[in-house]
Amino acid sequence: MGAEGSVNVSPGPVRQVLDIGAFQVNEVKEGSATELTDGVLTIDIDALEEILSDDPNFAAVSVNIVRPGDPVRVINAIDAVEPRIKVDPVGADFSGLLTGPRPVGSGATYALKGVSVVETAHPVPGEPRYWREAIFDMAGPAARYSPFSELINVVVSCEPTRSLLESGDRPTNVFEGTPEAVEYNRSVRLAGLKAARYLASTTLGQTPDRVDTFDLAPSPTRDLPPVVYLYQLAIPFLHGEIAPGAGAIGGAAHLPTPIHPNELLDGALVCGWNAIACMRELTYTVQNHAIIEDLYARHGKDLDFRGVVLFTNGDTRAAKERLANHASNLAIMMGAEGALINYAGGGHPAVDAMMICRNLERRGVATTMLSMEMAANPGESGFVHFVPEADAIVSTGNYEETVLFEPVERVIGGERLIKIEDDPAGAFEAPLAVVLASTHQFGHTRIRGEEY
Amino acid sequence: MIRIVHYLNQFFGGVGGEDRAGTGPVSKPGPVGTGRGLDRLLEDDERIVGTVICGDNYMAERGDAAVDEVIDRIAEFEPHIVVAGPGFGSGRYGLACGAVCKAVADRLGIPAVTGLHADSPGAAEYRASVPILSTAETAAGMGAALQGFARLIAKLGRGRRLGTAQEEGTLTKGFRRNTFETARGSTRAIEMLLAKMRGERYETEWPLPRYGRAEPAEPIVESKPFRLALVTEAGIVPDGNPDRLPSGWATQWYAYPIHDRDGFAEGEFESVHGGIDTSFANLDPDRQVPLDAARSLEEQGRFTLHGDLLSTTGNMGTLRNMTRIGTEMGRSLMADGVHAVIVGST
Repeated sequence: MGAEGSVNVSPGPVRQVLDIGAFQVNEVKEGSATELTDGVLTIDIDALEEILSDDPNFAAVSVNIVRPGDPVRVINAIDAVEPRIKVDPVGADFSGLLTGPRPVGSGATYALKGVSVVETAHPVPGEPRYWREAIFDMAGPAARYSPFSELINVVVSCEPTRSLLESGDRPTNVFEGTPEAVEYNRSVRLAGLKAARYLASTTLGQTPDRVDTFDLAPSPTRDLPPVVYLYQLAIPFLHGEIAPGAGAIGGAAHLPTPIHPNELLDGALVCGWNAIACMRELTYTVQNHAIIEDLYARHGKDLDFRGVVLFTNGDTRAAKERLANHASNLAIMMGAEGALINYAGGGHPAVDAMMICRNLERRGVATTMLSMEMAANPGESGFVHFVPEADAIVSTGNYEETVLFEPVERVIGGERLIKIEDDPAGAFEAPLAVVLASTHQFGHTRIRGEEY
Repeated sequence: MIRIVHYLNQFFGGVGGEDRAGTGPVSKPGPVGTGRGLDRLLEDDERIVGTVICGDNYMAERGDAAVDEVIDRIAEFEPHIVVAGPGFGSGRYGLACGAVCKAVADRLGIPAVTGLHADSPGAAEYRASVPILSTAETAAGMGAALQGFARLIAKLGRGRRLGTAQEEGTLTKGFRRNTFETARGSTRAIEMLLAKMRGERYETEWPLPRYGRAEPAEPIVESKPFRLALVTEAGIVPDGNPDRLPSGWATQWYAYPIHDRDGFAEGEFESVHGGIDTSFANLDPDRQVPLDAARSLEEQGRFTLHGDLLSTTGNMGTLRNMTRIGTEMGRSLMADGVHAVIVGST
């Protein structure tokens, strides 16, 4: 800090550097106090339930711990969050949601690794449920399809109030619910964020096992290929608001925007909508954004990571063209010679993502796309839309492929599934689409489609 | 001894060129034409015992009936395995090779293999049901194709299963399935991008669909009388959907008489398409299939209107089924002397 009244002169340009202090958690158990000791996280379940129950939309909240290999199925999942707390500056947790909008993405944040908070909630009458089914198994043949089967999960199950359950309104469309249903979902998400901050507060005053530094400093090595990541959002919250005017739900698409990747890693972007489970932009998958992490890992070594452009989708041809032209311009302004583009899933977004691919390729920027496949029948291509320029695609898996769920001893998240009519504890078949984060568009998993 | 029968067209079977493409099936003992080269590559206990030759046009024009004739002749040689072609990138010959191989497997219950270029029509039609050796586009690739045939015969002729398409040099079925990689998707994407930027070899994990090009027909000359047909993929059917045309994933098409109508009245026809808002089409099916407008132009003497509406549902249609449906509709319309078609899309 400069002395009072003097000018604070920094030696060179101001940079946005984020240190994430990682605390590896090897075991989570119930106890009389919430604390972290030698990799063992002990949770005072009663205290946590009491904190989370303080919401007018909930009749009750229950917390369960599930571990890899447990014969457990989690159903009606909403979001998953890595426990995090900001230590520099303090109080900037989940900007716009647990606090007012704060600048995030620099300073220091502590994280519990190997553990995740998962909220579950049964839909209330005014809620769209077309895409709502979200399941993962902790053991058995279906477990391998969800990355959450490899984590210790603190499952926060929220029960709606009687008046919410008795409200008779039907959702107006597949995206929006009644105002009551929207508020209820927001409460469920906030409960997950609160639990994440509560658990991460056990790290305060301790030394992390490892510190990962995220710094976009210009590479001292010259001539590394400059790469920009074009991130197509479905409908997450950015600083507590629907970001940035996401096409399908927010009406007209806003212009794409450049954003510092650290801001995304540091809790500014959280899950805001119950998209199809396999492609839902979970808070956890944004906090641990696979593409951003991997670009950082190679920044200054064999590529020059120039930043991120957020884009959504337009609802009309003109809106799509405007959006695609602008996103391409931003990437080129940032110096891109190569671009990674992820497709958020769904019908409309495929067109916008492909238009950007075409624009960039025609202007001499090499592109690679990450895309999930949708081949419901043998012989279907699985594409919603494509352009001939999309000659480099990484498949994140065909989400229409059927997965066998075997019986489990225990189900957490409700007594019944939403569209699947079978006993939730029994055996059933369902498309991979219902498995949480299975074919995730950030390339978070190792699943891919192949031709045979 | 492993008995092999070889199927060839008139050209590779030494009968003649395009002028002999109408030749019906003939049988010859032992290897002929292309087969002589193949015979030299075979093991001692493998022998081409006979060759069946048929003209490309004969096969194309007579369809299943011609295939049946060929299969009867093949069966007379009592083969253990049948080899067709290679047909390389050709249209009619490749389709005939695929049809013969499929019928051999279905009717005779023995293995059959052909060799085609990946982009040929025969490959598109039969890759899911017939093992197809991947060949060059032209007969310049004959040597490699015959060596590939010899390799596949050695396995299939002894009842062995083929390995993966990559191991065997065959075409994939064109189906997709999930598998697990060692590196996660994001890591693979960066590797792929860097390889692309460096100008190195990379392979997309999801090849774009190959759509065959349909060459547009010559414009019709309006000074001469011509016959126009109405075709739709909007699932327009008589009210109540008597043939149970599905709302998506259609595998069939139907012809509905319209010769006695000046237009579609509400309640007599409906759309069963499951991918669009059908309320406007149901209110007035003419807005989906312009029968009323076509009829009034017909009355002005511009053309004569074909008596049937050809209808299917395009929603969720697979490329394979829609290609077949389009081909069948085209054949039917040409047989009925139709010169021009309006296909209303959804």
